[in-house]
Amino acid sequence: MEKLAYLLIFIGATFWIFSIFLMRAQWQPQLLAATILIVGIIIAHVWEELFREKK
Amino acid sequence: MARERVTQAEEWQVWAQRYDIDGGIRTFESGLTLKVFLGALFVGLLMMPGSIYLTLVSGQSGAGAAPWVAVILFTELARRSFTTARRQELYMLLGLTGAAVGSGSQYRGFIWYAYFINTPQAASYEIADKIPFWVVPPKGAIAIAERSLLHMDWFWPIAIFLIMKLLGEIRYISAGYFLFRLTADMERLPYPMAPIEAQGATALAETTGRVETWRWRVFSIGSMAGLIWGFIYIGIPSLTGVMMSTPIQLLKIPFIDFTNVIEEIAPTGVFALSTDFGQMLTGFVLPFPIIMTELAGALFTQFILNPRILYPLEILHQWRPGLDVRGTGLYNGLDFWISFGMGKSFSFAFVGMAASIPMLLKFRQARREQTGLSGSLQTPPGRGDFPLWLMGLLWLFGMGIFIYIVHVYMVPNFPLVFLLGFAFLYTPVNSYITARTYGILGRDLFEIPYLHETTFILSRYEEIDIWFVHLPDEDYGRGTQSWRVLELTGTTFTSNIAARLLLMPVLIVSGIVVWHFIWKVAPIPSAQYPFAQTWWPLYATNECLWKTSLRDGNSQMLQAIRGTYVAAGFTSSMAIYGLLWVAKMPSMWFYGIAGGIGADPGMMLPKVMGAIIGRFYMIKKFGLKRWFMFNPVLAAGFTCGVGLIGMGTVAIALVSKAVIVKPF
Repeated sequence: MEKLAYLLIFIGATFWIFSIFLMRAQWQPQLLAATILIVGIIIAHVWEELFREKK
Repeated sequence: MARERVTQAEEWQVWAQRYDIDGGIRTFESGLTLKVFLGALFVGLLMMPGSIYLTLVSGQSGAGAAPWVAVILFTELARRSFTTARRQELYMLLGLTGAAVGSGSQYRGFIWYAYFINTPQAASYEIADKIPFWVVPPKGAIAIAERSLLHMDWFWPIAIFLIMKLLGEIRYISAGYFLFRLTADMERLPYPMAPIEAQGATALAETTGRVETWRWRVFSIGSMAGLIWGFIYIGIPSLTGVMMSTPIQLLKIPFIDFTNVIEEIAPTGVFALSTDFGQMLTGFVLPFPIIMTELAGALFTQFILNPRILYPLEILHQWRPGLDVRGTGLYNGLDFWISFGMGKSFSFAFVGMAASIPMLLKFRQARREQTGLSGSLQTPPGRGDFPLWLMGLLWLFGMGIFIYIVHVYMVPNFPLVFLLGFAFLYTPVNSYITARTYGILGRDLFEIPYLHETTFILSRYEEIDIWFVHLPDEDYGRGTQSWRVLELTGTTFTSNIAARLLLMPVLIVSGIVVWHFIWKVAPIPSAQYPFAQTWWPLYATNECLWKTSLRDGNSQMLQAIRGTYVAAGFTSSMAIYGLLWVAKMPSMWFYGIAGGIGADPGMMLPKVMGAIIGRFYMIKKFGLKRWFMFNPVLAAGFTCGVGLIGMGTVAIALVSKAVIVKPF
């Protein structure tokens, strides 16, 4: 789950930079990137609070 | 060695414990006693007319210092009567006196519209005859001609005002409490500015006891620093302004503008050094990582992002060489930063929800374990809590009746969907964001500019009456801090609500009566009230311009809001948050960076100086725990000192202006 969160956040952030430089910063691809980031961040917090095994 | 991950909840909890200088161990007592109630009533009613009068004469109410004066008076009386004052009583007194003195401003609208409806501006813009009956009596009404608020002509304006006020009180109490439980109990946000208010009352309460502790000493040091600084920064300009045409300012108020100096290396960048070094005290109090990352974000904006990226790309296209900080800020805002800031603010809500939802899921588990740690809504015993469902129902009741009155009786043709959207979508999100930013940064960050204007355009509603309605776009987030202060001072919540409700009818009656008498003394505006005489005609023109600004469907500010930049603000902030999480960095960094992006680094420098002195000198000298105990008390004393100087100089200026020098 942690890895999935990492992956989604990386994809979201990279896609956002991509949308800025190569897609003329249109709002639609930016919000798509934001959606990926939101899902990644939610998964990150769900993992942190509910599934992470503390040392 | 790999950095260990600390969850947001754990991080906030550590900070919350740091700011809770009593170590979370406290007993709760009622702050409402007869002497407190009478004291607040006496001081409040004595100062309220003065505050209203000062506002009309000089534009400054002096209401900020009034509660401190009341508390100092109260503690002195207690000392001389060989009795003690509890901190719960003093905090209650602070709150009640502040409410009493400040309540006078609420009724200004009656007098203002009685003036406005008769102005040539209102007539020429064709507004005067369209002002609704529930705002002000009609133009030729006897009540206006006789300058009387105690007249039947005022029945509907005052009745609607009172109903709305009562419903508003219900909404603000219930929603504020609900959000407090969410952000302080469950998320354990630290509320860094709350201890300042709490420790002021605590320090003064200890002076009435037999043993004076460190608090009084630290409070006195802060007060003396505040008096000296207040004299330099406020006193000298105010007093010399009475005697000279140009006041003497030892430090230029409010900033020294270096924007022109940096335009060679950073065109479109702004840099205005704030001269309010009182902000250093805020730097002592706020979390160090937030201040430093905020500065980094601001420096990056003004020295790299604006001049090296946005300006060459012609996104910042209105800027011209030679503009000062205000001009540059205005054009940059219109070109980019207003839109970007809106998107950035929305990200706070999403980040908050992303962190809160898993905590809610964990809630059952935490309650089962009775840990009382983050993720639990368990309340400390004796705090005077309420069931959350009851508060939710009260808010729904208050909002439901409010919407009903607005829709059925006030603006029946305005589309209901907008009112419902404001009430049940915008207000909860807006309030939650503000509650979180207060809980973390101690200030508000979320504001959508020209929200009303946008709504009116989208609704295609063309009547003027909508401009006079209080729309249900509210913000209960600011109020959450006062619940936290109640908790820190050990004051029961029930006593606070009882005090507010008891004082409300008295203040309503006295506020209206005081305005009535001030209006009777002389017309407002008139030569008796110079500030009103100078500014009210200008305000009337501005109000006419605003209320008619959408007639031609053309507003420069509305055109400034662009979806692309809003999306950029939102997505970039989410990306920063996500990447910081991946790098296992503290979530505070996000709030600092996001808060600093777009801001002026010069305005932060006093705060940064305070943070650096605190972090690298004070903590070393006093130790972390002691310094976190000292600094809120020091800041409270400082506020008190500056406030007293402010009130004193306003009084001197007022007296000097009342004296007429005769030529013989």
